[in-house]
Amino acid sequence: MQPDRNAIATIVLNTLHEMGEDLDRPELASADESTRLFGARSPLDSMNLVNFIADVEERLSDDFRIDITLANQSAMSRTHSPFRRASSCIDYIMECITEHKT
Amino acid sequence: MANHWLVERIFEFGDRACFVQGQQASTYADLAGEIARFRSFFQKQKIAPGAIVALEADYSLKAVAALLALFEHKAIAAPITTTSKAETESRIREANACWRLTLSEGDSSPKLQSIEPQSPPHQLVTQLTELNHPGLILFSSGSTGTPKAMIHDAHRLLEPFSKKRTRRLSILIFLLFDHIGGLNTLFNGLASGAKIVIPASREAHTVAQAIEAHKVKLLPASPTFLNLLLISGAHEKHDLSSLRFITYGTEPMPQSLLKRLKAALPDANFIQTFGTSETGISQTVSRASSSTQIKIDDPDTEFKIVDGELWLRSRSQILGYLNHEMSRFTPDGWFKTGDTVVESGDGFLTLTGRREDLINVGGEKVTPSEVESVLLEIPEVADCLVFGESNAITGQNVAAQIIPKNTTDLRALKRRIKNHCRESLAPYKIPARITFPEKALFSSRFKKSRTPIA
Repeated sequence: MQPDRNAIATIVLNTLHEMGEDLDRPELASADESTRLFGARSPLDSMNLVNFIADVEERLSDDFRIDITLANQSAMSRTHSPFRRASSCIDYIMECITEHKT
Repeated sequence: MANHWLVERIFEFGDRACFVQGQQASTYADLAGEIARFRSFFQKQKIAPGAIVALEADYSLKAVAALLALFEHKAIAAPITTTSKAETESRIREANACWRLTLSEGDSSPKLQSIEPQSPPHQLVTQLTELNHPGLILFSSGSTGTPKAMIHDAHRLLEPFSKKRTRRLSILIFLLFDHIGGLNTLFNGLASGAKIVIPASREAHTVAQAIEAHKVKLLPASPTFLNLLLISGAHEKHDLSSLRFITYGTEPMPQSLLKRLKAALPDANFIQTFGTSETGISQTVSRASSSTQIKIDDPDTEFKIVDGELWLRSRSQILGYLNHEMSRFTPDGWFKTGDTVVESGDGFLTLTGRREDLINVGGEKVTPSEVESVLLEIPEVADCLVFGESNAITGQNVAAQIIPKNTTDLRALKRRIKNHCRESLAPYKIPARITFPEKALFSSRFKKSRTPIA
């Protein structure tokens, strides 16, 4: 089954909420689509981001049998990083899934 | 007449128990008799001194007799213990053997076959023949898939064992017949007149049963096997209180595993051994039974640490490779072991892993064994394997494969694992990816293979 944007948003936000609980970081525990994932004003450091991406990839694989690598060189070299905010990350995942299917 | 100090000694030990294998027990006199039979067999077959003889066998009275008779005969023995036919063939080829002696289990007659060598004798072989010394060829798996064939002067390799005192000791032989660690146990046992127990298999319960039945005092093993012993519960089903010494080597010992082993087998002393196929086994001293720190204390071995890597130079090191360049040796004879070590102020070393296994997370170095030790603290983790995988953000990230004890909710377990790691590891050392493969994480040699299971 092809997941819709809502399903992907749930995965992304649940992953952030869970990380917030485990790391004891309220700003992550209450993350929404506007939460920054990357950069100086993000509650995530680079290791958190690595872990976040690995967790999301894993959930996509577990829940939808979609095996994709989100953090690849082309994503990292875009002018506007897809990991800027939760919302751009969700859009980027939708894009990857469409490409993955075709 | 015996032509080697070890064979003479075996003859002198006479009626002492030598091998125990299943229901069969043999004495040193039996071994001396078998050696004599092989001696005349080799003479009759006209095996020349310096001839390379592939010895396809696992431990048995006959296999050991054949090996020692080859040494006596000044031949070059290449023991091969593998169940893979292709691997056997490629080892015979790389050794450039001209004879193939096969001793299959239960088969009473050895099979000797003459084979056409691949090329004229290697210069190192000629050198040994001129010295009138026997040789030993060992193999290490090369990165290209072709095994590296290395040649030892067997005379020099065995010499240190001649200083062994005679002891009433029962040893279980665990490491393989074609492995430097296994041969070290064998020569040690024979030189000191010990009773050598050969288990029917290397499965934990079988080994534990053999320890109980023969009151084994010394068990040389690998950390992977010792972990399996604990997981299997074999130490609770069988009385292992006869064990006085458990030696371990071939891979790093996780501190957390050592702690559990000490608790499960409180009467045993745990001693780390250290050696490489290239340099032989060096004598070492463990700081304490509960410590993974060792000191190399061997008059025949020099060591130094270069850029975190252990370098060794020993009297018993190989003459060279038959099919590989000497790139891991410096021109002045130092062997770059590839083992990474941490040195404490007072000369003790902790082996942390293999240089090629180091994980580089955004410039920070992570040693797999450190992470594995933390993972093994978790009661639900039966076994684990840590390795690096490439990552577009940090170059590499830490990944772990876990064998859980009771398969329950894997996602919840994953979360507990990460939370546990957070308590004792820096963030970059925490496995970013955790997977649960269905197969075991170690090789048939009871050693962790750092290639993750697909």
